[in-house]
Amino acid sequence: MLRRAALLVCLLAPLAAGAAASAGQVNLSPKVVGRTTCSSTADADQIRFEWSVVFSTTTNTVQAGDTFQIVGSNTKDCPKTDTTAGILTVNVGPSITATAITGTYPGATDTPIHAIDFVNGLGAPYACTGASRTVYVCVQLRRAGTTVGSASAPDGLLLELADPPIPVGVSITPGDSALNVSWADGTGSGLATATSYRVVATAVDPAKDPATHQATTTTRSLRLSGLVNDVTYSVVVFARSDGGNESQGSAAVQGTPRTVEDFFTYYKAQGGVEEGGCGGGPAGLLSLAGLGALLRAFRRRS
Amino acid sequence: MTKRVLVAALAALLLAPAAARAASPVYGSLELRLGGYHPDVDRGALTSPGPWETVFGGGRPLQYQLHMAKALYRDFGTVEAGVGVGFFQATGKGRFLDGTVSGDSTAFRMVPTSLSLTWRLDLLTDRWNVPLVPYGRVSLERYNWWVTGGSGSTVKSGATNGWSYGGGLGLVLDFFDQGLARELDNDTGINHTMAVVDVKKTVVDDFGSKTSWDLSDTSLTVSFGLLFVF
Repeated sequence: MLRRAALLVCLLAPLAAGAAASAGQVNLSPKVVGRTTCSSTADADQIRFEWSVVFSTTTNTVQAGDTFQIVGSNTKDCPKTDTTAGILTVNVGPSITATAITGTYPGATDTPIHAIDFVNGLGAPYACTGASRTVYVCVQLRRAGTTVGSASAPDGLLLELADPPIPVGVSITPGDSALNVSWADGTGSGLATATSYRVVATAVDPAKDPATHQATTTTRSLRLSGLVNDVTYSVVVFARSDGGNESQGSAAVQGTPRTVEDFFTYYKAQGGVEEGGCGGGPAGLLSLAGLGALLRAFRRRS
Repeated sequence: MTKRVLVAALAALLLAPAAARAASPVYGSLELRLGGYHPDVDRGALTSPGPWETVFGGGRPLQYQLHMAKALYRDFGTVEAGVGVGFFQATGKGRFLDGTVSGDSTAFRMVPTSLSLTWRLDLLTDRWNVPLVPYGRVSLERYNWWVTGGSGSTVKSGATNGWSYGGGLGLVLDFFDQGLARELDNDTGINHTMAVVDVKKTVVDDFGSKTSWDLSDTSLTVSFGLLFVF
């Protein structure tokens, strides 16, 4: 009995997996928007949709008059009981064939959709300030006032409104025309996750170097190069979240780049005699090419 | 008792009918080895410790080596001519002008290449079923190296020539599973698989040039790996 049950499970598992895999899906780009992007209507901040709708009825063909509707909801999978209204209706264009249930938005002539459109459509609980929240996004295939197919974005659209924590423990080790900077993530509740960092260095005495030097990284250390040796710089680190929210700067730390001898320079300074060898430069490359040719000849013969 | 068991096991191993099988023709060998290396750059240094040990320490970072050889002669053992290539790197921190440690990294990287002649006494295995194969090897060596500074870019590159001699011992793994060894030969043409220990003395200083550093190993270079005869 137990073996039969196990066999049944084995047989039905792929079917169940297939059913799960066949759920319609919406891909959003971006999936996370930050505080600034959330309230922006700039072209660069529009959201792109790509979907593959699964029919909920046995009539699995698109008919004349069907429309796709992009819906924002405060509930996962945008249930029909949700009172949230659809915020945009996109007509099925003539280029879509009778069997097509995939689509993208916006096209070249379509009106772009921004995160702020969802925020406005969803009303009071939503805003581009305060705590971070998720808008669940679905695409519904509508026919004569009813939904005959749907797709949803698994994780919705995250309105990331909190800042990441301010970096702490910034330390600097001088390098040659560079500063090696490292830091740690700060802590705090309700904050966004830091996913990248911006490091800014300015000369304490701008007369010695008026430029602002900065670089970004996704790790918690960085070699900031292009600085002037023997000039003292003040370094500040900012954390950034996926949505582009930037923390306030860390406490400023000072460091001064100095001349550094790499191994070869140090070796020479200690009285080393090496000059680069007779095989340096093109001759070295030639010898490697010769070795490659030998290997090739060997392979051909064998 | 334990001693008798060991003797019996060794005898069984030696008397196993390894040579009975019909092996595919032998064309050459492929060898992969791994071992520590410490160049003698500090030889004759004005300071102690010398620049290498100051920057990279006194350890023996790993060197990876690949050696391919073509069998030239097979009667009293096998004589092979081969080429080798490898990779080695040591990393450390650069020094300020006052000698203190900086935050900038510096690295010495090297691609050692070689042309070699090997004599492998595999007739012990083929004729008398001894699972051990000693070999001797002489090589012309060319170490192609480059040094990088804090920004990661190359500050100096070159090549140093020399030679080496040595030998090693291979333990023929076929003896542990002859069926599998036969299948491997039938499927891929690999006649023997050996675990090898290789010992060599390197003399890589551009043949005594006064304007070259000494990349010879400070001690015998011992490496371990696998050898495939095919």
